[in-house]
Amino acid sequence: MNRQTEGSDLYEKIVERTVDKFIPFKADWELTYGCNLKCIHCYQSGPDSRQELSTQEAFSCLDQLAEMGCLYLTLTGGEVLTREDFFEIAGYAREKDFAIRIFTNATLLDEAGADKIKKLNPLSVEISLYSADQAVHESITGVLGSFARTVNAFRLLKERGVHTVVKTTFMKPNAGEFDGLQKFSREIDAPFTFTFTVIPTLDNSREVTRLRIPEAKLEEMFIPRDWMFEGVTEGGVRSFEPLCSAGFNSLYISPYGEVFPCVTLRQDCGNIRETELKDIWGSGFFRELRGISFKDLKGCADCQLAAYCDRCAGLAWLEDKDLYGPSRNDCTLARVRKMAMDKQERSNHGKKEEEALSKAQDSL
Amino acid sequence: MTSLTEYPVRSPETASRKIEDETVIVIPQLGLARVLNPVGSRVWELMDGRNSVAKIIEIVFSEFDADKEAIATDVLDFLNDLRDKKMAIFQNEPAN
Repeated sequence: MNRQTEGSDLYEKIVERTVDKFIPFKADWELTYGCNLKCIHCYQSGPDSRQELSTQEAFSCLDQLAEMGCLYLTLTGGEVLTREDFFEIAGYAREKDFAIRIFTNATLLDEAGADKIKKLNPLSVEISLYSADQAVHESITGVLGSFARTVNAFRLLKERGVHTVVKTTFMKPNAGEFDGLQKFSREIDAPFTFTFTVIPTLDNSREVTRLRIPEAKLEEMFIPRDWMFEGVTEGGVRSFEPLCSAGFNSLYISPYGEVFPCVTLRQDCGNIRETELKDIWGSGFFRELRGISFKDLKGCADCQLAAYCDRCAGLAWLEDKDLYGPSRNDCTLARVRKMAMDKQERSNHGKKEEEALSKAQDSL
Repeated sequence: MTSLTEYPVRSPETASRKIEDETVIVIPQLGLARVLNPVGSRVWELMDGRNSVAKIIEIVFSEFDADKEAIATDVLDFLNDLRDKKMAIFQNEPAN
């Protein structure tokens, strides 16, 4: 999470303590469902008739999070910059000593906005970019001109020394864009993060998941990359407990004040408009979640692919409404990761044999 | 070099949170996190611009079981380090 940590053992220990003692060290907050783009894979269905949290309610939420020990706060949407009071809320978060991260499409960012972001001194501004090619990017965002505005925002922020991150979801329309995006991120000296997971929409439709990249193509994408080893753990899907940080030291808040363990695990836990956050955090579903261990998972505990898997409980829930079951998306990724790694190993083995043979021939 | 008559203030560039008796400080610009022990945490807490360095040493001495000279040395070293890393601002007058 941090680019650098002094005394990293101490830091790891304190993070472990937040997990052991259920201190919500990290919070992700969807400030709004309002958005100026129409991304084809978006899991949200836009704002409904309910009022989003007011500025004052947002301040109260921040007070409570700070009181409970939250340090890392991600402000996301929708598009956060569509909220007129975004800078007021983010500024208050900084006054309350949060380390903030901003997720945005950045198309609404101008010089003045970039100056304001610089003043916030965020840990990072993570900007969605789906391709280094305008046509591909805009075929996903659904808005002409969005590519130029997003690329310009990277420039505005970099000029001001703001740490930016290029962030993408790979899906069918941009499956061939890896190299272009990597090149772009290198040119602007920004880290490049990505996912292959298209999340089912919040209205329980799985329609968007048809955008997921088919297994054969995924394998092709994985093979030449170092990152195919990411997520591989010795001893199983999770050789450690808890299964993930959601509900242990992290939580999620919706624009309407609903509190969830994470973005995908949207089990109703309570609303900060009616109940204090600390009471929601100690309530029923959070407690259930904290009681689940690896051995309780159906079909995962003895799965041959467990070592290659990065199972997400929230996805399992969204896909099949089964908190204890596997996530089909993650099963696919685990299978692909294993195939890619096996192929890589065979190829390395072949090369070593060739080298040995060549050396033997030279010595004759 | 930090003087006893200065008034240290936590840099607004930092983010921090006290977790029980320790504090995590983050410098977003550098992506750097640092963990302070209970004494460092207390000093960090007292760095509100209203306490001079001398006063901070006095308070820490009254709250922790240690030799005053050792505490003074530790606090000054710690503050010098924060100054070097631009994690603190030092003023000649107390804040209002």
